[in-house]
Amino acid sequence: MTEQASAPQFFVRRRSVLIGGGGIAIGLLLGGCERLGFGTSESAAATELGAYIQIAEDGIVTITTPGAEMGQGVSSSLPKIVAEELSANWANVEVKLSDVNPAFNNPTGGQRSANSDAVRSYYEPLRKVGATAREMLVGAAALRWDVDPGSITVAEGVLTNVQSGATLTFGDVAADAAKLPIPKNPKLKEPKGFVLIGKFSPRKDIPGKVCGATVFGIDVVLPNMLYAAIKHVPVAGAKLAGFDAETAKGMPGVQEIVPLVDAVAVIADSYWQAQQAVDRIKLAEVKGERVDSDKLMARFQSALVNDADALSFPVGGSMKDPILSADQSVIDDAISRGPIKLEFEYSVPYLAHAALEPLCATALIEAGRCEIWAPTQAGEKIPPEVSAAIGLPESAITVHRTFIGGAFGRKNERDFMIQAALLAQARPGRPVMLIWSREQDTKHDYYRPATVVRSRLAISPDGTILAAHGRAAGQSLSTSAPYRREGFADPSVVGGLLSPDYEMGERRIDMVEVEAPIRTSFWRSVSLSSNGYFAEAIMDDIAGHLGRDPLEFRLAQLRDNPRGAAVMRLAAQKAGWGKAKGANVGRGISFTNGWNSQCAQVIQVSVKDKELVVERIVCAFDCGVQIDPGNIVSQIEGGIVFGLSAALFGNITFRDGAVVEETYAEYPVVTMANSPDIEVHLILSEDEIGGVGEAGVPGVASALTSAIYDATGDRIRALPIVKAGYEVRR
Amino acid sequence: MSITLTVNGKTHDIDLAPETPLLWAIRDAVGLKGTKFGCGVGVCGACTVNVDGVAVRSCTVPVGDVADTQVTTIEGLSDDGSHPLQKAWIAEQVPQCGYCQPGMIMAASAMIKDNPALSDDDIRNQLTNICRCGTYPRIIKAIRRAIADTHEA
Repeated sequence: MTEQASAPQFFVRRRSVLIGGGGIAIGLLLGGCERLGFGTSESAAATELGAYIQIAEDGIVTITTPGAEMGQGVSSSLPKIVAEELSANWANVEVKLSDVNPAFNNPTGGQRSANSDAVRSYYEPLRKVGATAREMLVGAAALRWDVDPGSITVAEGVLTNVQSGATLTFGDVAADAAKLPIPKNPKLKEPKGFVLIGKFSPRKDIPGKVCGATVFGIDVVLPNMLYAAIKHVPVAGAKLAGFDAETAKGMPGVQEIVPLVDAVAVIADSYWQAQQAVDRIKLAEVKGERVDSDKLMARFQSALVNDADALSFPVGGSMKDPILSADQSVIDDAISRGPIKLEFEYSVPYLAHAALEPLCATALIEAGRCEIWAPTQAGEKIPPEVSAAIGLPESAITVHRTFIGGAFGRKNERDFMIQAALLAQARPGRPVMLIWSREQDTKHDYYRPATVVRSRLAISPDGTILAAHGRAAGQSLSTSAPYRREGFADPSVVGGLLSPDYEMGERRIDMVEVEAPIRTSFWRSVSLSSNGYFAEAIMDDIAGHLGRDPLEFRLAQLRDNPRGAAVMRLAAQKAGWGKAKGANVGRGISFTNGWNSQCAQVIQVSVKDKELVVERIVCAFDCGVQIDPGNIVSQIEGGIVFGLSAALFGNITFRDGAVVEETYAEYPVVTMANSPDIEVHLILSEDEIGGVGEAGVPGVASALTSAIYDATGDRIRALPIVKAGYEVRR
Repeated sequence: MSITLTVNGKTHDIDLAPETPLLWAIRDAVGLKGTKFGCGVGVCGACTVNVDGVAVRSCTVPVGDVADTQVTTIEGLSDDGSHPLQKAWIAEQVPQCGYCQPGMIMAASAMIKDNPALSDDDIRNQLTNICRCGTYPRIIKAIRRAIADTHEA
């Protein structure tokens, strides 16, 4: 966040005036469910402070969230940080979503919402924004009362002259405050004086969401809109070779057929008409490689033993100060010395994101400008990429970020927005909304890559892990090039393959990368989505081999991590770990340390004749600072259900080059019928800040397979669980 | 071809092909965006509306088939979010992304109508709408709260 010298603009408005200044308004404080539109694009001439805060004469404080709202609650949690330092009354706060605008960048320079880092990266800067505004309001009141600012207290939107008892509201002084110089080093509150942070506050977006008033990407309405549907070449990695649109051209509502590099789109008067037409376009056969799940698996298997092409990865430390893996010869030697040598193989499949709002975006090209409305997690990357695609300068591109109907990483990619812009070029002056069908969304995802892992271990009879080698084989991410370092494997695939939290002697993580034309990218919890399973599964396998209790064994191996030990003990206690259970009942435990948060899960199942009931999941979670404990619990519940869908069912397969699965019928997810009871217990570690949005996901698979082993003696090492012949019941 | 459609008590003359799914008639011709497109094949339930008292997945129903019926969408459940289910959804802070929730609430409203003895297992087995954010535990609590509030009133 840069210091800026010019005066902020606290836009003073009357209650009845529609909010301007860009962004999309969601105020529903006074009840009522009228459908909310959005402001037209005004460029961010507003200074940083004015970009974040607007105060009306009636005291309504409008705070713009820099985050993209995809369910994780950043449209409330980030404004709440501002509101705390500002000392606003939460009931009088309204929230706006931000357009793509460098004024909202976090200190690392981005505005994308991903990596569970919204609160972590914006916490201090937003506290400063709120405190700055508070001091200016106090300054204005001090001038009005002719007193020292130190004799004014602020709480819940009211300024009080301590000596006289007189009060002024924020609305009374906002206009005067806006004229004052901006304090460079505002005084932040002591955390023990927080009245909002750490407590439950009702989320601002929820009332609209229960009335159908919230504007998602697919709900954008503009004058003279056209709609488009798309059909991608089904073969992964292939380009469009040709197409026959004779039938499609003449269908009702069809305006234009537009070929793209790897797809054909139809622009029509309505989405449904466009989809009927694009369904009737025949794509020419393409030549080239045809991936197939069985052949891919065979390639991954042979890659596992290809030492020559293995790239290593640090086993701990930090980006600046990594702890490197042991060399191949060192680890081979260490493992060969045993005394107990173990080897296990695990695998996880390709996974789709399958968010409920399909990919969609609206673009308007007019008078040398391009305006985009999209349910996007992305930020600063959009203008340059759209600019490159359509040949307009970056400064001519405006991006409005709508509410997002689920994302999980998919909506951080820019492909669907670039497509909308290219289609809008075919109809300048008219907004074109591109909507992907569910089938296209499932079949042309950027998948979480499949991985096969071979783990080799040397242990002593007392459970000491003397040597560990985790070798992965599979694709790297198509999109992780900016995060890769020369000579190292892809962090987004192998990071955490061996847990740095357990004592181990020699350690090596490496990966043999297999090329395939399948697009792969970030999926909620990224490398921990698979390694959270692999790293914990070996602990269960070792414990099983030695007849040790999985909880006791983990605690015995845990390195200095009191927060980690605490969540494991709490989850175990709340779950009744070690207590008597019925004949067919099993329990498993997992531990995840990620995003500076600690998460332990105990899963209890019952299994009879291969019918699996996931009865209960008990989680203990420590994310440090809690902006809102209620929202944290809901994110962890949701992350657990997301991880459960993947562990039980998730499986994207390929045949003759194309994805087989089409809709939720072929790619099932957890529903109410098989959703377990979930309890989340929070531990507060005041000196830390950890991420929340992804933390519930990684721990499910290993706790679940461990619970099934506990109930049946059957050790599943290949996901999804239904592949092992289990039927999921409730 | 003109079809007369009654949605939330108001009549609309709609010029759409009769095989157009009711979902798109509601969203485009009537202009009510609360009913959502999730899959188009009747699996996810995001498009659930009420047709003559019955929960229906509007993506699978041709608009021509509902010309003489009363269609209720999420916007018609109340003027101001005051339906017991909506109030309960807010009290339990159910929605995360919120995209599935209009369909979920409409399905729940049909399910609980005149059905105070609904058990948790009944809810689990009858409410098959998909929520990718995993709000299921809170949905059950909210339905229980709505049933209790309705029967206290």
